[in-house]
Amino acid sequence: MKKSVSQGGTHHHQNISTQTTISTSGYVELIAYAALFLTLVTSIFVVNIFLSRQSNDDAAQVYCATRQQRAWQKAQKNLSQTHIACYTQLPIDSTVREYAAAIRGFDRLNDILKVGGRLMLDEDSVQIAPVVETQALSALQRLENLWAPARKDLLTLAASATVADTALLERSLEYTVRRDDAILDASENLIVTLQRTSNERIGQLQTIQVVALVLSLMVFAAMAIRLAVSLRRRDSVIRRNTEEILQQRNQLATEKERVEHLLDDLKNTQSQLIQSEKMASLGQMVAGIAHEVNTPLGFVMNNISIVERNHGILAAALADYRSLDNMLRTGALESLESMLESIAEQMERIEEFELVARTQSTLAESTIGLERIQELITNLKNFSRLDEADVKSVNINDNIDSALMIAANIVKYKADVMKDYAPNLVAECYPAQLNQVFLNLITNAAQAIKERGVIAIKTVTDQSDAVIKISDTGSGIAPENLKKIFEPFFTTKPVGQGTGLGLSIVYKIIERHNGNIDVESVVGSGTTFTIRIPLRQPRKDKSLVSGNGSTAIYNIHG
Amino acid sequence: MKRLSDILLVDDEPLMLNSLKGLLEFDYKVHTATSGFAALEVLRQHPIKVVISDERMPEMPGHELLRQVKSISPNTIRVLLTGYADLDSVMKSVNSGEVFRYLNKPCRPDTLRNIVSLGVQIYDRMSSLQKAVAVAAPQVAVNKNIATPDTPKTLPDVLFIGYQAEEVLQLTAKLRDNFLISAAHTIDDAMNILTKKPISVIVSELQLGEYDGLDFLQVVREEQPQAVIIVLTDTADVKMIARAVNELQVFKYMTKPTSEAQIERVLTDATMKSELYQQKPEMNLQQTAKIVDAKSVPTPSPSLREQLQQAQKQLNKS
Repeated sequence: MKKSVSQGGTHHHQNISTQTTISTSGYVELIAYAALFLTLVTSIFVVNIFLSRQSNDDAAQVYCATRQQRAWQKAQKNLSQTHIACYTQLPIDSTVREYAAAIRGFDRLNDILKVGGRLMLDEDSVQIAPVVETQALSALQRLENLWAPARKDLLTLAASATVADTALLERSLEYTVRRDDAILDASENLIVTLQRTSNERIGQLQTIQVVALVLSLMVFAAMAIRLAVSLRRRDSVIRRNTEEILQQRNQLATEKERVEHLLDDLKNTQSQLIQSEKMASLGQMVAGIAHEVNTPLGFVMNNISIVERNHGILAAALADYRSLDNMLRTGALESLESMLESIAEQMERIEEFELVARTQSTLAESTIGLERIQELITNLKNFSRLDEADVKSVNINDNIDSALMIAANIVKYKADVMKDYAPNLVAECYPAQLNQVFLNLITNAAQAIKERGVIAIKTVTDQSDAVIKISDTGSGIAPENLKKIFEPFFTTKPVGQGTGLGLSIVYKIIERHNGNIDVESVVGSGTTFTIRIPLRQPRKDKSLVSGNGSTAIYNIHG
Repeated sequence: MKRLSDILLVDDEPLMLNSLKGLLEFDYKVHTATSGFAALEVLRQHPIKVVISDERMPEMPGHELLRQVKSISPNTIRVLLTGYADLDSVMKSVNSGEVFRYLNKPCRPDTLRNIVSLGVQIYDRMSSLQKAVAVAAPQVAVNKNIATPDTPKTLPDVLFIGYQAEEVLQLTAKLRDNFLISAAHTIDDAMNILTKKPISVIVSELQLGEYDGLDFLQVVREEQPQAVIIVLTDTADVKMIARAVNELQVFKYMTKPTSEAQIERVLTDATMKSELYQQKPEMNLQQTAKIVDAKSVPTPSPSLREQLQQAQKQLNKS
């Protein structure tokens, strides 16, 4: 039973550790998935921000390029107006100024596109990033190549603020007119290129966004699946554990029931054993009594038969004597001789076997036999004391003698009994129970003797105690058994010959008398049991409420 | 005046001895002893015909005394008287003392007188027949020749009744060289075997189906007086043993389980006993008792007897 419980325990423990491993790995996995997911989302945001900044830049560049184109157109228009005004003597100041502002703006915008810078847009200032894309750069380069040869002239013209140098004006105009389409084309090309780059970037951005979305969705799905799986696994583990716990609880319940059954059985068996011990000692007692009664009964029966027979002989002799007397009185003497012979014959027999004296002694012996039976019955009555359940003052010596007589059929053939009694040792006790103790110890003593030995019984008064020592010259008790002999069910007799309860009951009885019992034994030379009980039993607490119930409850082990 | 027969009473209780002596002293020369040792002393000095001993005595129990009586004076009829039914000592007294009768105390005076009378008669008959045999010396010589090991002798027949076939087979394997073993599981089988040939030793169970084993064995004894009966059974009960002794005069009463060696030893002893019965039928106490006093031996149950007779008839027809 113990074994099975410990196995169950181990099993349970294994389950817990498995579960722990599962949950730890689950958490690690979950954290990894969450980290991956977060990284993905973060990277999407970062890329998104980066790319939208880029496309912002692109838009600013496109705007910048558009402004540049418009500045060129404006410059070219004002220059040609200035040229016309110059020749028509019209005021030229405003057109020159506008030209100057436009051409300067054109040049500055070109620089901004090349190296980056700040551009005022209405109230806001917009930061323009330098163009870096190869295609856009080459488009810008082309525009610059077109612009570069005339740059100095056109800027000088703008700086003069007057049209003092007509040659310069002529040269500029010629250049602008001649190059107008090319510059506009280049500018257009730049704008388109920038626009395309921007579009590409937006496309890229969208692709990345879509990919990232898909990826994050996948990660999320994987995480969800993984979570679902591990949750389901945990569920199944929990379910299994729950089932197991339920099963164990059921098992425990059945086990408990079984143990209770066993306990009941044990109690029953114990009471049966106690009963069988009682029956065994009763049987022993009955057998002893039967044997003890049988012997006197046998010879008394024989004696009655003898007396009957003798009576017949004596009666016949008496009848003959009466006939003779009659003969002599009446004087009918014809058969006198034969009568005398018959009487002599009878007298011879009566005298030979001393029938008169023998009959008397036979009767006397019968009386002895009957007295012996009577004594036995008295002792038996004393011994059992069925009518005395309470504490009584009795003569302990008498009780020992009763027990000795009950055990006589066992003791007689094994041992000589040596008694050394303290005179008139009267003590308070439960007499029937104490007799059982004496019978048990005396019987044990006789049984311990192999061939023939001595049983010594000594009683003394020691202060307020009665001390009874019962010793034998038997085989003794081994030291390892000595401390166990008062334990219930301990026996060295073969199975079926002794319940092992005898001495445990003795122990209980002495305990109930507020006394104690000791044993000393030497293997091979004998055993002595010493009983000590108080001469007066302590008064019982008569109240109903308190009281420790010392008479009702006693523990076998003490 | 005729000489009275010597009998010996042994009991450790003097008053009991006195009463027994009083009962018997008119008809016998009664010797008494209060212990086994004293009894053996008396036995050596007087031709004791019957010894009646109590079982429970200090120093030497009754069964031990009877065992020694048997070796000192084999013809002395031994009766055990006991008040306390102790199975172990009863078994011992039956098996080692070969007790003639087992009496329970208190024993009725009539019963006691009858037993003593029967015992004395059996003793006398046995002794007279032995003397007659001793006179016819040549016959003894012939008998001795048969017994000598040089001449090829037939193996003694042993019949086991009421055991499992395997049990007997095992024994047969061991004892084949010295005994001719047959087995009968039921009473019918046993009857068939018994009507065919004389059996030296019968080993029997006491539970034989519906029949009481002791009743059945009585029938057998009637038919085959030379057969020595051994009871081997699980149940040892003082009453059963007493009946087995008093009614059947069993040779041994054994309880299962027993060893092969013991069975062999007992069978050897029993075979010798059977040979003795064949040569000197007067030594067969049961038969002698029957001749001396028919009432002393109980008659077997009639139904079983009829069964046996029928078996015999059938055999004769075929």
